[in-house]
Amino acid sequence: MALGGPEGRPFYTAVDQGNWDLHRKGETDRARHKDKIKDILKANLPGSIAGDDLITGDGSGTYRVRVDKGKVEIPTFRFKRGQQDGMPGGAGLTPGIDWYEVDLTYDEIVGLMFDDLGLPYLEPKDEGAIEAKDVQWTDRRRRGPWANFDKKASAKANITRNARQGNPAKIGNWQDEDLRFKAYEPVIVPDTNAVLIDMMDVSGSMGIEERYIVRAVTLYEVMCLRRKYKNVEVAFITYHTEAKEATEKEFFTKGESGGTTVSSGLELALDWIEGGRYPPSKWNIYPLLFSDGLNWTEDNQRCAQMTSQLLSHANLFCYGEIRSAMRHIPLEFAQYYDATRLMGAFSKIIDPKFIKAILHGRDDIGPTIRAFLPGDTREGREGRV
Amino acid sequence: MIGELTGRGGHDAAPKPNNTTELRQAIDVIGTTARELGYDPFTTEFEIVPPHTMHEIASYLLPSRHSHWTFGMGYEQQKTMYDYGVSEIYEVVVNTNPAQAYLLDSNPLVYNKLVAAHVLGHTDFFKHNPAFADTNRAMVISAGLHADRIRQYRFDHGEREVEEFIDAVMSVQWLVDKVRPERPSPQEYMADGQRRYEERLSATGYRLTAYDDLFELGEPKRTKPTSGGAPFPYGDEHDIFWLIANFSPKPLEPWQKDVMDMMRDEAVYFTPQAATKILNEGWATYAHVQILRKLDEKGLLTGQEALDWIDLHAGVINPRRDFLQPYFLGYRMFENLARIHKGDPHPTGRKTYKDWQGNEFDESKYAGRDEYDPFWIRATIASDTEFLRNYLPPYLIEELAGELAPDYDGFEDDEADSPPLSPEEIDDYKKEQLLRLINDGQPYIHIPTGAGDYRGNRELCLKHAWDERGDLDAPLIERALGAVQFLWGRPVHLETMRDGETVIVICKSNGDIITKKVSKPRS
Repeated sequence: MALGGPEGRPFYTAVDQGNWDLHRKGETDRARHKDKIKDILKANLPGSIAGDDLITGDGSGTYRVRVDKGKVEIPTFRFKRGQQDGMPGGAGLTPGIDWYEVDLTYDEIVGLMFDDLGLPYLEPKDEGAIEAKDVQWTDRRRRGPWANFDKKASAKANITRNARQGNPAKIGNWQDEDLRFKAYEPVIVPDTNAVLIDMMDVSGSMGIEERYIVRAVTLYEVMCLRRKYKNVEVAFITYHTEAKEATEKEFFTKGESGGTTVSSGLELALDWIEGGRYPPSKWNIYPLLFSDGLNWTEDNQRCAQMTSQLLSHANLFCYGEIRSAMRHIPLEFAQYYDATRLMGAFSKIIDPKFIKAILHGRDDIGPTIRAFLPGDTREGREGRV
Repeated sequence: MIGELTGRGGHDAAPKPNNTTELRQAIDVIGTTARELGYDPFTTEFEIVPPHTMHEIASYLLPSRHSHWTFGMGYEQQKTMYDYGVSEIYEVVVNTNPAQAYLLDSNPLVYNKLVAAHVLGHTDFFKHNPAFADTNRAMVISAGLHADRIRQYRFDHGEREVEEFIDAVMSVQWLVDKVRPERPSPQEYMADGQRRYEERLSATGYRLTAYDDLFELGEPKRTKPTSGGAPFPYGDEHDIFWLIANFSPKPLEPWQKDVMDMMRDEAVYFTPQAATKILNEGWATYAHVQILRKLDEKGLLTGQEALDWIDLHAGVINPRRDFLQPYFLGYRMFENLARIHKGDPHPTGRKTYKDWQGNEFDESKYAGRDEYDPFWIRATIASDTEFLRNYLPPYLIEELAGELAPDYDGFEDDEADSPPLSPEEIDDYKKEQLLRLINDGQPYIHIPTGAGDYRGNRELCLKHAWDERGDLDAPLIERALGAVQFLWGRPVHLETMRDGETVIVICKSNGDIITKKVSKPRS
C-alpha cells in the first residue's frame, strides 16, 4: 500500500515501538526531588514533633511531620487563591502557606533526627556481653561430682524405674541410671527496672531548638537504656520557681516566664526516690538535668547538695547546660561564665557517675552523647569524644 | 501542555501489547480519512511507549529536555495518579515538523485509533493556527542541545550551583512578552533607545520626564534623569526575562546568561500552547469525532470498536466540575458552530437567540459563512479569550453549565428542574470564566520606563497592573521576588495592591523583604 496523501507525503514517517527500559531520566530527577523533601523534613522536625509521644510511646504509631509546600515548589508570581470564590464567610483556604503532611514511622523519624544531628550510631545489641547475674540449681543430670549428689531426686528416679519394670514401688535395686546430681544453669536476669528522670527548666530561654536538643539527647539515652533493662520508664519534671511533673507533650511545649530555682526540680526528683515512688532497691535511677545554667545564686549551694544526694542513689547523673546564646564566646572566656552559672556550682562535685556537658547548639549533641554514654558508642569506648 | 488526551483513569480493558503493524495500517487509514475531510496535519512520527515514559514526556514536555527536580516532581505526580487509577494520559504530541506523538503501549488498539485521530487534529492545529506561526519547529533538537550544554555547565560549575540558578530562573520563566517575543541584541537596544531619546529631545526641546512614572518612596520628585542619557528601559518592558538576562548588573556569568537564553527560548516556545488550550483540545476532539465517524461509515470499525471509541470519547469530554475543561468546552463549541455553519437548526428548534449585546441573533444568516467554518476558525483565531468571546453565546453557557457535576456554584444537577439563569447570571458567569483565561491565568507584571535603573542605583522596579482577578499571593511572591533579586544582584522592588492599598515589596541585597504602604495612590 502506497503511503501518503495527495502530495505523496506520508502522514507518518514512522510508527515505532522501541525499548524504553533504560530511559530513566524521570527516576533520577524524581530521586533528586525526594532528597529535597528529605532535607525539608529534617528542617521541619524541631517544630513538627513538639507534641508527640516519641519518647514515651511504644514506637508503633506514625508521626506526622509537616512539609511547607512552598519550599518544595518553585515560587512564581501568582494570584492568591480563593479570593474569587465570592462566598462571604465561606470556608476559605488558609491564606498563604500550604502544607502537606507526611506520616513517618518511629524508625524513620528517629533516623531523620539522628541523621540531621549527626548522632553516633547505636551499636547493635551484643548478647554475649551481658554477664550472668545469677545461677539456678534447678538442673538435674545423671553425672556429676558426689558433692552434688541429690538423694531425693535419685530416690524418686529409682522408685519410678522399679515401678515401671513391674517391681514393687520402693527403693532398691540401684542402677547407675537412677543417680541424679545437682547442676546449675547460669541465668541471665536482666536488670529489670530503670527510670530516667528528665528535668528541664521551662523558662523563656528554652525555645524550639533547645527543646529539640533536649528531646534528641533524652531519646538517645532512653534507647540505650531500653537495650539494657527490661522495663524503662521515663518521668518528666518541668521547673521554674517550682517543680511539677509533666507529660511528654507538656514537657516539650509548655513554657513559663519568671525566675528559675533549679533545686526545686532536683528536690522533686529526690522526693520520688526517697519517698517511695522509685526506691533504689527496685529501680536503677538515671537523672538527666537540663538548664540554661542561670539560677538564683543563693540556690546554687542547695543544688550542689541535692545533686550529691541524688548521686548516692543514681547509676548515672547527666547534666546538660544549654548555652545557646553564648555560641560566639571564645572558649577562653567561657571559664568566667562558669563561675556564675550552675556549672560553676557543680564543678566541685567530682564523681564518676556525674557527667557534665555544655551545649552551645545542636552541633554539640554528638559529643555530649558520647560523653554521657561512652559504653554505647564505638567512639566513646575508644575514649574519643 | 502540548496536547495531551486525558481520560478517566483505570479503564477496564486489559492491556494488550499493541501490534505495531496493525496500528501502522490503522494510522494509514486514519491519515487518509483525515485528508479527505480537509485536515492538513504535519507529517507525524508515532512512538509507542510504556507508561513510565509517557509520564516522563508529559512532565518534561520535550523528550530531550534538560534535567531538573521539578520535572521529577511532575513525573512523580503523574505516576502516582496513574498508579492509583485517578487519571491517565493517553498521548503526548510535540509541536515540531515533523511532529512527534507518543501513544501508550498498554492501550487497546481501538483507543490508540481514537488517539491517533486526535493527534492528527493537533498537528493540523499546530500547522495552521497563527499563534504557532513563529514557533521553533525543530525544538526537540534545540532542547537536546540545551540539555547538553546545561549538563556541561553542571559538570564545570557544580550540580548545586547550577540547580540553584535554574531554580531562580524558573521563578521568572513566564515573564516573557507573549505577543512579540523577538528582541534585538542588547547593543542594538541601547543604541535604539539613545537614538529615540535624542530625537525626542531635539523635537520637543525639553527633557523627557520618564521618571515621573516611577513611584517615589517619600523622596522628592525628580524632574531630571540622574544619568545623562535615555531612560532604561526606554519604554515599558513586558519581557522581564529578557531584560534580566541581557542587562543584569549582578553581572551574570557567561554560562548563566546562556542558561537564561536557553530557558527563555523554551518558555517562548510554550506560550502559544498555554494561550490556546481550549481551541487546540476542542479542535483535536472535534477532529477525532469526525474521523472516527467517517471510519465507521466506511465500515472500517468492528461493532465492538464502534462502541468502545464512543465510550472513551465520553470519558474524555466529561467536564466533571470544571466549565473550562478544555476538551469539553472546546469540543462543544466547535460542535455548535459547525452546526451553525452547516445551517442545521438547534435541537430545540429555536432559530434565534439574544446575543451578549441583547440583540437578536439569527443563526441561519451565518450558514456557510467563513466565520463559522471550523477550518477557518482554527486558522484565524489565535487565543482562547478571542474564541470564547466570539463563539460562546449565552444559551450555550446555560446549556453547558447545566451539565457540570452537581453542586457547582449552585447550578442544579437535574436540567429539567433547574430554573433558567437570568441574563445577568449568565453574563457574570461568562465574565468569571473569561477572567480565568486572561494572560493564561497569570498576573500582568512589567517594568515601567526607566525602572531598570531606579534611583540611578541600578535597582529594578516591577509593577503589577492590578485587575479584577485580585491580589497576588503574598508569601509566594516574596520568595519569587527573592529569586529576581538573586538574578539581578541589586535591590528589586515590586509595586502591587493589597487589600485595596498600593504597597511596594522590596527585596534588599541581603535578601530581606520589607513591605511599604504608599500613602498616595499612584496616578
